[in-house]
Amino acid sequence: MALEPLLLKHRNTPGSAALEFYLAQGGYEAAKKAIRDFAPDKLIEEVKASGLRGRGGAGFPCGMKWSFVPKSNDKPKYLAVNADESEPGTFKDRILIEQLPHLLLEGILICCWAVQIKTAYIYIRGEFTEGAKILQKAIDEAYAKGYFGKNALGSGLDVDVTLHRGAGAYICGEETGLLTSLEGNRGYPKLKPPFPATHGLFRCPTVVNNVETLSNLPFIVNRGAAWFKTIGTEKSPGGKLFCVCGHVKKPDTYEVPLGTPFKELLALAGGVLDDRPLKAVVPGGSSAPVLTADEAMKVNMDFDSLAAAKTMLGSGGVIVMHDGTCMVDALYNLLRFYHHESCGQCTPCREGTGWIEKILHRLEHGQGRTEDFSLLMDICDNMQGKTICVLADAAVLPTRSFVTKFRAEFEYHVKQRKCLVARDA
Amino acid sequence: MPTIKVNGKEYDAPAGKNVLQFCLDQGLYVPHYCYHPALTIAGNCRMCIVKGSGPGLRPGLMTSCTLPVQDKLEVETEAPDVQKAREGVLEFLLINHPLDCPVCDQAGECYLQDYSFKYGRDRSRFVEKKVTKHTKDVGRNIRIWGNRCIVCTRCVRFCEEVAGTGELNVVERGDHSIIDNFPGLPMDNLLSGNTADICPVGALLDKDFLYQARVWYMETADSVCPTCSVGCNLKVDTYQGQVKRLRPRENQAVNQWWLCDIGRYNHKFTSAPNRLGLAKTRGVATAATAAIAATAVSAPALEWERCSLDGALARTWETLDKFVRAEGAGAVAGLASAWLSNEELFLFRKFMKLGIGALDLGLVAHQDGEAHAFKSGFKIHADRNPNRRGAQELLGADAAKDGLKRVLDGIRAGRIKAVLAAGGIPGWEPDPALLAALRKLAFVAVLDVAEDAPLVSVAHVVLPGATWVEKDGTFTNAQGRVQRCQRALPPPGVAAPESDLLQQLLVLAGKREKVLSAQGVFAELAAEVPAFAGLSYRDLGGQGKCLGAAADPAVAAR
Repeated sequence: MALEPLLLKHRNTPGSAALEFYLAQGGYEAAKKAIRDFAPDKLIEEVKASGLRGRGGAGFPCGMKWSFVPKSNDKPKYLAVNADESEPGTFKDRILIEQLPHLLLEGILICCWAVQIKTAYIYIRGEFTEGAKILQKAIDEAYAKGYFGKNALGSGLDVDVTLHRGAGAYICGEETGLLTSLEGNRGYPKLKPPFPATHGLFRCPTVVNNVETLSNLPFIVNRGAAWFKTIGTEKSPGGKLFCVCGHVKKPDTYEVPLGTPFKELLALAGGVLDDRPLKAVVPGGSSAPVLTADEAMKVNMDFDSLAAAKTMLGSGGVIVMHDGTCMVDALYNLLRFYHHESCGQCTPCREGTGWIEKILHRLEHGQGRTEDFSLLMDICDNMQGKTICVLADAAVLPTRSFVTKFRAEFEYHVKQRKCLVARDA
Repeated sequence: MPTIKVNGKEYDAPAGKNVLQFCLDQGLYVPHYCYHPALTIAGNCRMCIVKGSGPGLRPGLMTSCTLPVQDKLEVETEAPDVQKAREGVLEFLLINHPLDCPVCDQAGECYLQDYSFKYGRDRSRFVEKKVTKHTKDVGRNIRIWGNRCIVCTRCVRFCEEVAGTGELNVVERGDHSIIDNFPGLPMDNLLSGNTADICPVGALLDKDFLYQARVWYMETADSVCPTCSVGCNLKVDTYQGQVKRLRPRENQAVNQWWLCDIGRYNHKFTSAPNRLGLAKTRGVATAATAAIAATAVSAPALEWERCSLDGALARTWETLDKFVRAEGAGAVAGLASAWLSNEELFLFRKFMKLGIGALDLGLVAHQDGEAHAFKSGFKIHADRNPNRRGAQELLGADAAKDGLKRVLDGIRAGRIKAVLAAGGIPGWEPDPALLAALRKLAFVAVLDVAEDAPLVSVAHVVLPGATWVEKDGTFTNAQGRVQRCQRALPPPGVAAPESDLLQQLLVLAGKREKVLSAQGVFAELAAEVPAFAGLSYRDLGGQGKCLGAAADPAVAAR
């Protein structure tokens, strides 16, 4: 499907991170326009009207999220930019940060104007050393130009932006875990309610937005909500970055309208590696339930179509697996990740992720038992929906879907004590 | 007030209170680990899960500790899916738990054990290798068994929010999560012992009590801490005639849920080898038969002779009586300690005034310690005596303030020839001038608890008394709250509570017919001393009552 590339327009342009380059492309005009033409409330309405949904994973409508922040409040308001991209299979924010950091900064200015926020923090994944350097340089450039700081961009509003590097925990990408970490504490997710919109960073009203969400804002301001709605589907408007990885010929980040059929996305990525048959697809980062090849080839890549297929768009990390993939091994690999990254706060997740990993390890290594399947499902029952954040669910959803949809392969492991697929092929 | 439904029954409930606490208040038990009423809500153990529905609430399972009471809320605490969720949580908690109850001190008072009876399986579905974690001292008094820890973070929150010292935190992640102190910052705050009390499992244990007794063999008495004038409420746990452990007992008006380490570990003197179990005398016969002033010999120069308790009591009375007859009532003075109970102070004054007719009474007290205050408002007072306030009421404010000085002056002037001193003070380092003065006296009779107590060194007669765990009585704390301590153990040998000994002296003096129980003495006291008017053991209950409570409703509400 044809889409004028927006976020990835300068994907391969050298020097695209520099301020001069961004200004030459009409940079920061959207922020100026927002301040000039939109009263804060009107800007929130415009973003609401655009139907922009959060690109971090949950797909919550962005304008709605902003409108939950109390207008009159004695406490300071904060914007926390979630740049802690760590969902396995996802590498979109990293590209945005490294290629067009000023697009993100402009998005931050627009958000701060709309919600009248004076302090923004960018919480960037600790491993993104290069991105952090680039972003810090961009922040310094923008400050030097007066885009941030006192009377930012001549708006009359003081906006400060601070880059904060995480220390390498997946859970700090969960919005309240991020806030706790930003506060200087151990990155434990917070109890909800109250939600960040009213009790976020330092118990003050806080907007938490993903890098990609914010990067969409300059386009919406420049071209209008009505234009944005012409892209994508009715309930999932706009374009989306999909990180297609795994067994494809051209693994990369692709920008397509929401609602693009998976089939087309796969074609963009050059098809399945070695032209082998497709076996399974994880459509939205490792936390999303897996789709079989048949299911995947029928599905469109937007929030609602994927929800209807009992999986989710998530972060847009599309993991493609061909017929040489052992699903037991693939799931074991995933659960090793969740076990390693469980923060350990809630009992079911702390103990359950490790237990599932150990069971899968046995299954993978030929020590599985028939009763392990019902045990796995029961452990999943005891974890799902019973914790503070959704990391437990993120471990349960793949477990359930892998074991249910590829049951025969798991049973083969139990009975034959080896893989169904010849993995060295 | 909002109306909520719990298990189909309607209740009026205070808005905003969490459902877990509300249920507990109503006697509807909801199992929980991480919740503690003194600490912020963590919501991490997931054991207190209930089924809830109500306006603005997505119906389903939710933790009751994080669920605020609101109108039209409906809660089920025992639904089948609630049970299933709790069974799940308990199973998760046990998969990496060592199940080493036979060697664990917590056995018998362990939430994991208790809930296992209700929600546990008889065998584990976990066949893999367990995660193992460290066992180490996190502070002077506390050791952690990481394998037993359920990471409820009660101890972490306690150090942060109550002690205000924040030595503990969770380190590592996921099922490797474990409590540890920050490097170079051991948990040596003066409230550290409480972390072992609030630990719901056998992870944090008190090294002082380690391997001392199985808890189900111990006997428990409600008491009050004598170590400072706060008067923390406590439980005295004893086994085979020894105090094994002191634990705080909740009293919101006094110590909330806590007990400081100074008080907690100050019980060793009760079973120390230096305890006085027998009465003894030296030189008394000489003193009693000869012309007193001429033949008096300083006590330390004489040899001890063993004596029956009755004999020692009789000699005490007869000698004091002789001094009064020979030299006048002003020749005998009394020293009472601020470690005596209200009843004993009352009897002491009665004996000295009625039996002897003595003019001078003085108060001796433990030297001041350091005062401490904590983030939560919990305090340790500098006054290291349990009953100075009671002494002020019962000896008289003047005697409590200047009496000791008058007695010393009287001794130095040669007017006072004999002294009766009552009430052992463990760890007391008296003013050397006091001992020097007493050493010169012709006759000193002492009621004390230790062989090597300072006053024993200058005594002619020693009557073995009881420590606070060996007697019934009441102390009046600094805020004027009269609180009961109950006898947990018999005193050693022929030793007896000072209230018994003083009453026997009153009997010998012909001022009393029989020895009453502490409760009887208290009734007498309440009838005679205005400050205590209207109080009785029954009224005091487990939480005590403030002086003047009967007369003033505002005081009664305290």
